[in-house]
Order: sequence, then structure tokens, then C-alpha cells
Amino acid sequence: MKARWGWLVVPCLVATGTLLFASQAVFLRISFYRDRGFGRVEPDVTLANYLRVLQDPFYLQSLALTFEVAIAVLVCSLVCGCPAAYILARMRSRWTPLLLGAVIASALVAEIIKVLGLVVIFSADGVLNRSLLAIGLIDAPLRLLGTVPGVVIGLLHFTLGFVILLMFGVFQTIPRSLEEAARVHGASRLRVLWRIVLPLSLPGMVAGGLVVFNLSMGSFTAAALLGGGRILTMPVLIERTMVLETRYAIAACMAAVLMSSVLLVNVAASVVLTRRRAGAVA
Amino acid sequence: MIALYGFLFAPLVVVAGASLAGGERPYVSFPPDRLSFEWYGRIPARYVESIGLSVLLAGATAVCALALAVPAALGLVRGRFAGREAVALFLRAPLQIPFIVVGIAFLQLYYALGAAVGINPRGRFVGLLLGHVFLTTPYALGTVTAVLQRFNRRLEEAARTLGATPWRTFRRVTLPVIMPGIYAGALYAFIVSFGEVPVALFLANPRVATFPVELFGALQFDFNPSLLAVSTLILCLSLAIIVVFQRIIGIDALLRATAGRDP
Amino acid sequence: MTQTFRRWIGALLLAGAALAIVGPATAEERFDGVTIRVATWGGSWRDRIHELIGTELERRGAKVEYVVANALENFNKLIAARDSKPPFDVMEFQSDLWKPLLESGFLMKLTNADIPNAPTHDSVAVSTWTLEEGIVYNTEKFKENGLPAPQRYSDLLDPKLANRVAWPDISYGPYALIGLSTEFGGSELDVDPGLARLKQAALPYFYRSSVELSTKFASGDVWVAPWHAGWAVRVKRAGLPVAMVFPQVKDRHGVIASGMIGIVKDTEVEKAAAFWINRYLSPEVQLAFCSANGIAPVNPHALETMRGDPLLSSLMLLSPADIAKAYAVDWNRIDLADIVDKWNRTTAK
Repeated sequence: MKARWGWLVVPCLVATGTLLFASQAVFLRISFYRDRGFGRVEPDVTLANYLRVLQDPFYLQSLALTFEVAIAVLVCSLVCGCPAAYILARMRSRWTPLLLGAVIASALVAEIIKVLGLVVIFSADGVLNRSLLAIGLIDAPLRLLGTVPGVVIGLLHFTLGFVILLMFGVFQTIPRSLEEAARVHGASRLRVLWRIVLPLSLPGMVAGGLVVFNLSMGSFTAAALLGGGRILTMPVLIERTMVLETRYAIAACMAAVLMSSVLLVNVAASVVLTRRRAGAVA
Repeated sequence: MIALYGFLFAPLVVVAGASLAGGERPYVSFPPDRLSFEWYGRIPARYVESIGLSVLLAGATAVCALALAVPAALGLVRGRFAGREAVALFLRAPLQIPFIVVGIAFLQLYYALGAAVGINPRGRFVGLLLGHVFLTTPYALGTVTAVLQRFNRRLEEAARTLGATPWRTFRRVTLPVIMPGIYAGALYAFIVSFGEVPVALFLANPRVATFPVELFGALQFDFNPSLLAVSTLILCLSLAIIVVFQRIIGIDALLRATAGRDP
Repeated sequence: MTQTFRRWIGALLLAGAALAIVGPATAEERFDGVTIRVATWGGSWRDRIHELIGTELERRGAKVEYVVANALENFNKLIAARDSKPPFDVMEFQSDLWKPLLESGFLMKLTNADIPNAPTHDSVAVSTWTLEEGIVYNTEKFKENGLPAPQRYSDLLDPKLANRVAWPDISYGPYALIGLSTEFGGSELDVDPGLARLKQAALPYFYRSSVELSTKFASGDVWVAPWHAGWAVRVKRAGLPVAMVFPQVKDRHGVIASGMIGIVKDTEVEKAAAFWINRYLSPEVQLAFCSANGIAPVNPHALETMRGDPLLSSLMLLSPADIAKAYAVDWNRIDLADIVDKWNRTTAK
């Protein structure tokens, strides 16, 4: 019986596997050759590109920056999204579906459009700065374009929707009765959250967190449009190298390095999680 | 909460406001100095066509992604086989590739296919669909897995001891409970497919492009508030659809799935 | 009978003679069943091109499809399709892609016979318009703050303008960078002087999209930026008080780039493509298109007519003499990939 479940994975595995390997094989293959410009490469196989990318501080800095942005987005998304999802899941109100719907609707608006709106809001004479100046929170206009916080905010508009929707589903599966039972036995609200809700929703949070992390590591639009040309995360750099410089080989190489580092993080996360689960069982 | 919604909707308010700007404005002007609905009337048919294509594509993507992800999630969460974690990781891989890399890689793949086998999916709906399904299946997988992991197996066991077949159990016990995850997965797949640019840009068809690609093209060179008007309309339309959905089917269906009570 | 016969012959001969005289002018070239795919920029650019050229081809039986993306992306599509059928037949691009396209052999040689409107030279592309790069600034804001009008690229690095200037990102084009470098002894082959100054100035951000920049001009966020006349024309038409300066670059004023068009090799619709280009270069189309977009036509008559428009002549270089006095980047020798790489390294935070 148990063995049978495993087979269900096959169609997905085959589909993803073929597409992944086939497309990446074609694309990454050239990372082992030197660029000759215009997508052409020299005929000899070499690891020169990899050596260059892994040793040149410029590329490493870009990778570090990408991580920085992704982690910031991850933390903010979870910190803001989970409580919101929890409240939504526990609200016994007619408004819940509409509020959820509002989140969905906002997610359907193209990222680019939202970014345009953000550009207007961020401007020195824009609404944000004017109101903050008026309240007296700041003395000089905040500069958000071309900074990491600006990019993070832009990405948040994209990821918050996902987190809220995902965690809503997760919190749904935690029965209210469980929490109520604990309250009846005298546990404070906070205690209930900490000892019951959090551990139970943790796998969901990790899954959602990984999704957000991966999305942010691969995101191009927000960084390109809000980064003001100064926040050169790996995806932005890869795009430039590929499209502006038509140096496909080194771009493919950078993509490979980016993918591997993201993969590493995912692997680490799942290892930690398995050990935790094993530990909990034991 | 209010702050959160305010945050999410602030740029949309700006966009909606700027869409009411009257006169020739090759930029976003907010607050608009002249209010008028003129740009709503000047939305080119091309945009509407591309929205139709995007909706169709996103819907198809969601369906296919779920078709692949639900069984896979079941297999991953309940199966016991060597390398399970590795497989899970592998299936999440598409998420880790920058969209633009996926776009160009798929384009090259399609050309290679064309050269080798004579079928080139580039520029065809299938080609776009394949690319999008590839991108979105991990999302659906993630959401369904998350919900499945929380699922209380005892519910199923109870049903089985009462004599239900595995399929019946799945359909009437498991499925309703994991519905939130499925809806969420379908939603994600739809949202990602509807809004993504790089893959569609490279795999698209000269005749009709998806809406984000149209937007992107228009934004690169030229801009007028009709773009904002269309986006605002999409927003309102989605909200309207959700209200209707709620009235008829009830997102309560989503809420009712809180069946997981401990026995 | 014979009389009627003779009359018939007479009539026929007359008709024949008439046709012979009026002939070629009315025998219209048809393109029935032909589908031509044109790679060009999107939005109103494509709309206008369709209005001026596309509809004419449609009238003659052809079907017109547009592959809309910026030239660089379209170039990438050509690269991907290297060993198979090209994804489009006609391609519009700018002179910065001239060398790459020439070297990669994607375009076919154009002969003058197909394109009578083109000036005589046979090569793989013809120039269709001239983009005029310079400095655009908001006259009102400058006056309000008592600032002198900017004259050179280096004026923009003045700390007084610190938060009010928007320098273009390299993805926009290297024009401003080249202009800046020439002031300090560099050129398109040596952009280090310009890069050094930019790094020193530590500008907060670089603009990538002109739409973004025009939004900032409109909101008063940005007062001055290196930009091209086309946008100056557009924002002025929208009511913004801008003026244009063509700064000194070596011994010239302003930087120009050419819009070009070519036919992709291995296309199946060569005749239609040639017709397309020919029409693009016709005086009427040149006038209509270029006036709308704030670019200088290559056709001298159109150029002359545009000089009569006060808004256009206040912002653009519209005499052949002025255009000749502008700096044309030597695209044959430039290494754009190298410049982009250097730019990335210098400007990254």
C-alpha cells in the first residue's frame, strides 16, 4: 500500500524532468565554452567561465546581494503575511472571502504596472515622502529607488499575495477546536500560538518560505525596474550579459551558479526539516 | 491588517487614479490634473485580445499544473521510497531558475526540437503552455504538499474501516479537506502564468501576444494611460468575479473545508 | 464588317498606347497571399508604422504581422533561430546593432534596384531616421532655482543638481557615457574617463525606461537628463516646459544614432520586404512618422518640411548642416559588450 503512493509522483517527475534537463542541457551546455560574442562560442570545452565567475569578486558580490534581497523579502513576507493569513483564517466574518479576493485581485495586476505605481509613490515629491515629511518622521525625502529596500518593497507586493493565500490554506487545516481546547485549559493566546499553531504550521511556512526565497532569487522585474541600475542582482546581471552583451556562455555559467546556490539552500532547508521531524517523532 | 492592505493597494490606487488622467500623457501622472474617462474608451482591441489569450493560457496552465502536482504531492507526502527528499527538491527546481533563463532555454530547446524532429512549438499555444506549466507546477506542488502534510490520516482510516474504497475515500474525505491547497495552487499557477513576461516574450507568437508582453512592449517605447485603464479594469473585473464566485459557489466552500476536527 | 474590325483594332491600339504611356504607374505591385513579418518596437511606434506602411501592404493583398520587442531582444531571437527559418522578415534596429548584425550575417544585401528610395550604397541595411541625443531639461525648474542652462554632459554632475538629475543606464545606450568621456580625453573606445566621473558623482540611480523618466519629469522629481529629442518632443506636447541642449562632444554638438532597417536572410518574401523599406523611405511616410516621433528623417524634403514646425525646430536639429555637426559614434570600432561589462562593475552599489 505504501509503495503504491510513490508511483503517483511519476507523471510529474517525467514532465518536469524532461523539460528541465532538455532545456537546461541546451542552455547550460555553452557555459563550458568561451564566448565569441553574438551567442557564438569557441569550439574547445573549458571551465574558464566557471573559474572566472567563482573567483571574480564582482560576481560574488552580485550573488551576495541577491541573497541579501531574497532573505529580506523572505523575512518580511512571513512576518507580515502569516499573521494576516491567520487573522483571515480565524475571522468568522462575511468579509473574509472578499478580503481574500482582494488579495487575489491585486496579485492579478501585472508586476510592471504596480512598479510604475510605486515609482510615482516613491518620488521625492510623491505622496509617501510628502506625508512622512509632514508628520515629521523624516527631515529629507527618502530615496527608495535604486536601493535595496526599494527593491524589497517591490518584490513584497508580489510575494505577500502568495504567502497570505498559502498560509490561509495551511491555517485552515489546523482545527479551531484544538486551539479552543488549549484555551479552555488555561493557556494564554500567545502560548496557544507559540506551542500549537506555530509548530503545526511550520512545514507550511517552510514550504511557503522556500517558494518566496526562490522567487526572489530569480526575480528580475522588480530589481531591474526599482533597482535604478545600481542594484545588480544575479538575474539582472544575467539578463544584461545575455541580452545586452550577447555573451551567452558566461551568462549560462552565472545562471548555473545561481541555480546551484539556490538548490543548496533548498537542500539544507529540507535536511534541517527532516531532522526536526525525525527528532520530534523520537 | 489595515496597514497591510493599504500597502498592497497603494500602487493600485495610484494606477487607478492616473488612469483617469485626461489628455495626452506619455507618463504616469498622479494625482491627475484633469479627470476624464477618455482613456478607457481608447483601449485598443489588441489589449483585449491579449487579455483573452492570457486568461486562456493561465487557466490551461493551472489545470495542467494541478493534474501533475496533486498526484505528485500525494506520492511525496505519503510514499516511502528512497530519495524522496531528493525528488521533492528536484521537482522544486524550476522555481530556482530565473524566468528569463527559462525563456531563452526553452526557445533554444524548441529550435533544437525543430531541427531534430521537425516540430517546433515556438509561437504556438502548446509551446507557451509547456513553458508555463513547467514554471508553475512547483507552486501547485508546494501548496498541495503543505496542506497534505497537515492532513490527519485518521480521517481516511476511519472511512476505510467503515468500508469505503480508496478512491471513494480520496474523493469524499481527502479531497475536500485538501481543497484549500488545491485552490491555492490553482490560483498561484494562474497568477504566475497571467503575469509573467520573460518566457512569454521569447516563446510568443507574432500574431497575438499575452497581455503582460503587450504591456511590456508598450511600456518600453511608449505609454499612455490606456494601459493603466486596462489594468484598473482587470483589477475591478477580478474583484467582481470574486464577488460573483462568492455569491454562487461561495468561497465558503474554501472555508467549509475546515473539516479537520480531531476525533 | 471590315470597318468595325478596323475600329476595334484602332480602339485596341489606342488603348494599348494609352496603357503603354500610363502603364507602369497604374500596374500596381500586388502581394496577394504574402505574409510579411516585421520586427519593430511596440506601442504607438508599431501602430503608426502599421497606419503608414502596413495598411498599404494590406491593401495590396498582403498580411502583415509584427514581432514586437526591442531590437536587442529581436536580435537574440535571430541568434536562437540561427539554423532554421528566421522568425521575421524585416528588422528595425539602431546603429548600435549594426556591427553585430553585419558580422553575424543575419541580413541580406540590399540592392538599389529593389529600393529606389534609398541613397545609393549597397549594404545589408539602410538608415531610416536619425535619433538625436542631447540633454533635456525643465526650463521652469531651472529658472526657479536660478540655475544656468546645462551646456555639457559634465554639467549634470554638478552637486547642485545632485538629486534632480537622471543619468541613463547602459541598457538605454552608451551615448551619454561616450559624450561624457570625450570631455575628458576619452571616446567610444575609451570610456574609462566617463565611468570614473560617474563613479565619483555617486548618482543614486540610473533610468532604464523612458516612460519612467517622463513620469519623473512630469512629477518634478527630475529636472534634467541626457535623453533624445523624440521624448523631448513628446513631453513638450504633453505640456511640460522642456528645452533641449546638444552638448559639445569633441568638436561636434550632440550625439546621433541612426535608425536602420534590413531584410533578414533566407526570407521568403523579399519583394514585399523591399517594398516595405522603400515605402518607409518615401517622403510622405518619412514626414508623418518622424514628426510624430521627434526623430530626424533621412529624406531631405521631409526634413525641410519639419523645419516649419515651431515645436519641432525648437527641440531638434533639423538642418543637414546641424546634423552633420553632430557626433556620430563609430559603431564599426566600438565594443559594446566590453562597455557594458565595465559599466556593470563601476556602477554596481
